[in-house]
Amino acid sequence: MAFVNLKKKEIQVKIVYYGPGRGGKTTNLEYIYNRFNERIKTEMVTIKTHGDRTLFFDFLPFDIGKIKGYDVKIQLYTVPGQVKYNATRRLVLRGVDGIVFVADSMAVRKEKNILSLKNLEENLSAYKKKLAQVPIVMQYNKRDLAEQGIPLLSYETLDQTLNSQLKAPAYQASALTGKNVVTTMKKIIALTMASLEKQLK
Amino acid sequence: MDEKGDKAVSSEVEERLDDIFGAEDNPTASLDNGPLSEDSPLRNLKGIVLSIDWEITDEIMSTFLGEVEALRQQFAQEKIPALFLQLLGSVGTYIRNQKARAHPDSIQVLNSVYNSFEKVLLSDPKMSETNKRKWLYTEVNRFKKLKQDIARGREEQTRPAVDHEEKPETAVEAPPPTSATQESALDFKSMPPHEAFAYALEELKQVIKTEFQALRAELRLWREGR
Repeated sequence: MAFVNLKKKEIQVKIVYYGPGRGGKTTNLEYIYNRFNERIKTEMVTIKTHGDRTLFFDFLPFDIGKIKGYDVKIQLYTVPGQVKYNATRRLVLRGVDGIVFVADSMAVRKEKNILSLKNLEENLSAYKKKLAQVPIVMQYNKRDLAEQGIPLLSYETLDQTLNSQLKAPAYQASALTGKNVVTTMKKIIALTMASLEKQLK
Repeated sequence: MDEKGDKAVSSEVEERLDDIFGAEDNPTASLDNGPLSEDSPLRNLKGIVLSIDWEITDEIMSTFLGEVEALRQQFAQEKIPALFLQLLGSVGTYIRNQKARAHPDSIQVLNSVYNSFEKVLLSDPKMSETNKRKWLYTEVNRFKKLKQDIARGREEQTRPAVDHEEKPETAVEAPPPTSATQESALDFKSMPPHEAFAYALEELKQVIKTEFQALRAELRLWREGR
């Protein structure tokens, strides 16, 4: 549940970008930060390890102004995708309000996407949350690689594999070029705000 | 939040987001070397290079080295491509042998050598021999620097440890722990500090939970005994 400060009339919304390692979660946040940092006037916090991998998490906070008299502060997080950092992933998921699942479209990553989604489900259950109850947007990333002749999973295959039960909004994207990065983010914020509004009633 | 006006909230959010981020995505960047054609000799190699993850597996690295070897035979008569492939083979063999203990810059060097090789081989119009050599020398120098860094790292390792540098991660493909018991049995020293902290936090929660359960049980017994 989002952090709501009734006295200060402030709401903090936590959105986590989840997915397999090297899937493009950090690239999503970097694109948003690089393109809009003058407008959102904030700093992105990122801790990387050797070879540019996310070690702990990336953090990009920004305000979207007043909604119904409340100051809404959005906090975007990524988790480290590498299998071995599960405790960190679980920690970052604490208090999550919305999730973007960044799937890797490369054919060789099919299994890793499935494992990561299962891992998300398991980690959410530690907080007594079910995946179907949390606002989620699927992003099928790295579509630009098709132009390079890299074998990719089709949109249909990805949707069938990862989204057949959830039936969440899904976008084909390229975090590297920015294609559908903002659309994904706007969608998850809108879904999360709608969900929070219901919870707050 | 106000209880009235469900739609008003949604539209207010959407309007606000449009104000900040614009109404649509405008892609800005493109991939450096452009698309590869169906019959490009580097088609397979590029796929493998892109799929080399930090979680390096023997399978991926063997496929990579096999593809490099096949290309070396194909370009045996062309000096510059052959040297690029030799560089790729050397870095690839090193990464396969060292896996997660590989020098942090080795994957970047591998990517860089591949990118330059692709530029040299597939440039349109064709690159002059002088330019090709320039690209090659840049990568050879990068490779030499990597070798020096690796050698320096080895020297430092043989000296008595006086600082607290991060230790190499041991189990590259170890499956995630499934229970708190298993997690507590892990060696914290082999973990990066943040991961050790996360595990420790979880363990602490378990201890507190267990303590409270024990206290409740004792209170129950005390009440029953009165």
